[in-house]
Amino acid sequence: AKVYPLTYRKDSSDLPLTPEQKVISYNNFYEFGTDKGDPIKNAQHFKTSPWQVTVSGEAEKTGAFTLEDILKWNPLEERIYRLRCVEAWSMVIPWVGFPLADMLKRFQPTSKAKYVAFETLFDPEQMPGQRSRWGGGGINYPYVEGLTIAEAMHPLTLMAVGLYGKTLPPQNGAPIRLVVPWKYGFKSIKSIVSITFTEQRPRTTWSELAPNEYGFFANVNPKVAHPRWSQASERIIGSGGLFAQKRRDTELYNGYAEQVASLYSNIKENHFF
Amino acid sequence: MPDVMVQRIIQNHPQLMGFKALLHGACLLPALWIFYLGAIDSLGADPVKALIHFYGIGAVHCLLATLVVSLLSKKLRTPLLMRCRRLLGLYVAFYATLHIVCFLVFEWQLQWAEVIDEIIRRPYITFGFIAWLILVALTLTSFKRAQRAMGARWSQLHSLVYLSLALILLHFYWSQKSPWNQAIAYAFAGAALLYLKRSNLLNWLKLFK
Repeated sequence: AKVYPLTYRKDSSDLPLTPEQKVISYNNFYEFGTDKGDPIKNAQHFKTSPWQVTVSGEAEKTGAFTLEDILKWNPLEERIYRLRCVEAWSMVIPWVGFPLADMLKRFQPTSKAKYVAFETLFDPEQMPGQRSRWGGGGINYPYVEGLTIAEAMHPLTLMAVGLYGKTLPPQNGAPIRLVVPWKYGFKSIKSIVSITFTEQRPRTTWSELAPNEYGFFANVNPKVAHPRWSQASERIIGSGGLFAQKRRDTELYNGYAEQVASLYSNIKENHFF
Repeated sequence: MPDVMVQRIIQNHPQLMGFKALLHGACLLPALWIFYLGAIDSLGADPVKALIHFYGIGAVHCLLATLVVSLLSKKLRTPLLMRCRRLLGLYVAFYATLHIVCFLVFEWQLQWAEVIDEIIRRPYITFGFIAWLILVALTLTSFKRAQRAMGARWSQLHSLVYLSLALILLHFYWSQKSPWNQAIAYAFAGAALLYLKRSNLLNWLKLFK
């Protein structure tokens, strides 16, 4: 799939970016293979047009919306965010998109809408990882994720349609994906076809696959180790070879504590899991 | 023909020399080449992970090969093949050591305290580390003189290779994010080889009774 330039408002952040070539060739997108180098190879013929997103559940306005409709609703803006993978590596990516809140408000969620559930496309013909347990890392497809309504409405939560000034390459979750920068990367679901407002907490893929290792919230915290590895620091995927590698200490909420910590002031359960 | 002469023919067998040279090339060149690719940033987005995985899997391949070699040489009754086993065994330790050195130098940037903490606290790393210690012990006693000096103890020690294999396969499986991963295939291969070598394994266990 080709990528096209986008028109958007620039972000003035001066975080050093991960090179574009690394952002688009190092992907956890098991639908296209479990090796991080697989998606760029296997996703190039992925069809992202026509595309529609079905909105359902506890909201006044539901239905199916085409990507063209969705793109008309909000102006695009660039957001340079840190991305922290649960595997203890990180990137800095210039996304292009719009706040998820601006999209969700149009559907007028009701007072029963406590959570928002998302679903990735299920299309085994196009996504080899969905054809077998072996190819797809044992995930029960389609991939599903969810946020509390407060998290979904937070101004940092982004619906991304591009990166590095162009439309998303398929391996990065084209044509439309979530970006939640204070949570581990697996929360940022790719190639979304469905959004549902729910009263009950929705199922989420990784917490279902390995319930002792991944929880619903998955907020970044250097003090809460993954059962099999430390989360205290992270390796930066930057430019350069073996001798130009760098580590950094992981930050609470991936460095977005000031903006998001208040979301959890009333949550009693362990929201770092 | 007296035994000594057979020995000599085998030792100086030109085919064996050629085959050994080939094995050295097959084991050594990929390790060097991949390091070069990593150094010039031509190993994908994350050269560190790629290198660590390559050396880790390289160690597994060599280890499985040593077991296949000893099984095959018994089946084919050719001691020639058996004479390559030590070479392969040393490459297991070679690859495993590169795996650990890259983990320490490139993944952890020589932060010794953190690395030691990881080795103690993460069971999959603990298991991998124990397996490496076994490989080091086997390497240090791999010479003819050590073999003679140790007598029966030598095979007792060197049968720890089976334990090392089990630990390495567990380490491999456990290091993967998803529970359905390629390590399962290697575990099956390892289990099959251990099953075929079960008589050796039982004899070894008897030594401890």
